[in-house]
Amino acid sequence: MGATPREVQTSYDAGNEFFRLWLDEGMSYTGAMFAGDEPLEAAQRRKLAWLAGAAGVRPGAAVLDIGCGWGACLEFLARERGIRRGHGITLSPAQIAEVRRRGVPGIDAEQISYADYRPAEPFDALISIGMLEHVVAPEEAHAGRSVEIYRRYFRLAHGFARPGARFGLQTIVRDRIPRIAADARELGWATRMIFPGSIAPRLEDLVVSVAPYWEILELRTGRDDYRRTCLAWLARLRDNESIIRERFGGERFEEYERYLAACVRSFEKGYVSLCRFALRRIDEQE
Amino acid sequence: MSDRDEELFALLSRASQEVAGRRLEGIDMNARLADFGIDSVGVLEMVGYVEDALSLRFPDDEIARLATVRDVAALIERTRRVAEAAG
Repeated sequence: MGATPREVQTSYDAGNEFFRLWLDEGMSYTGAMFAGDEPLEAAQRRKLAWLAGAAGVRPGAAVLDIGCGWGACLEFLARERGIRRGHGITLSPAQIAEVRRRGVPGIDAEQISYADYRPAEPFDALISIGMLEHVVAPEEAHAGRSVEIYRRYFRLAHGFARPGARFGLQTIVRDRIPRIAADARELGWATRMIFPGSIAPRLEDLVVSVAPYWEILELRTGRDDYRRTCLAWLARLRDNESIIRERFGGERFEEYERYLAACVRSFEKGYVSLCRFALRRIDEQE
Repeated sequence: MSDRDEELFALLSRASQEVAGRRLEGIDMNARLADFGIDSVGVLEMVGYVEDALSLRFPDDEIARLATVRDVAALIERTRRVAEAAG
């Protein structure tokens, strides 16, 4: 169901040092939230602050980060929001190594799928950034199984959290279908090469799937935020072209340059967008 | 088979000629678009051709769910009804 561990590792185990050369210093590999002309670093912190607010994170809380990446969010929550415990789950061993290298007290990560995860204690808050794109495989989406699989995801997430908990969720969504053949092919190429086994949800599928388990308190889109994020990544990748070519090969550079350029265009044209949700766990009525 | 079905089959065949360089053989309402050897991007290109030919704009979420020729026929019908109702 969804992307396999091997497919996820294709996306995220291309070398922590490689990603460090073009992501922001915190290593967030997801859309930022810009205000004015601020740099990517500030926009990534702004995004993390918004999601922490959406999840109702308070000092002393225990927070689960579903698809924790290299630990940018967990570190932010520990250092800026004073959480007691931050736990990340991911399928990428390279990401777990980076989370642990940071050495932040109270923060850890484990390699497990959300589908198999059963926490001993429910968490006070959930956050998930850019992971929902891996929950449904393209062939499952084409077979009309998306809603069923997202419902299962939201039901499991409900079980990870205590009653009344909130959930800050960010995901890319598919939006307009490209009618320009070259754009459709480029987007298809980028997805297959960089994110095999994954397909972004459609917003209407999420609205239907989330309903029995989580109430949508707020939904905020950020298509232009993600376009700007990809532009910033592309500029940094190009700034480091000679180092990347030397250490990771010319093919790697060209592949990622083409992929990031396709992402910029896809957000620009509205083929994809970004959704940020503040969700509240639904509990039995008194 | 109605004239309308025949018209649709001819239109899809022209779309395939345009997109994949070959006309569709043995087309019927139950045929799956994927069975004609057209990949998902090719299907999108065909949809664009059909939209232009019929001067219609299909809703994106419905395009994402197209699997069979019957699905295409139903989508054309629904989109026409909405367009007519909206004047």
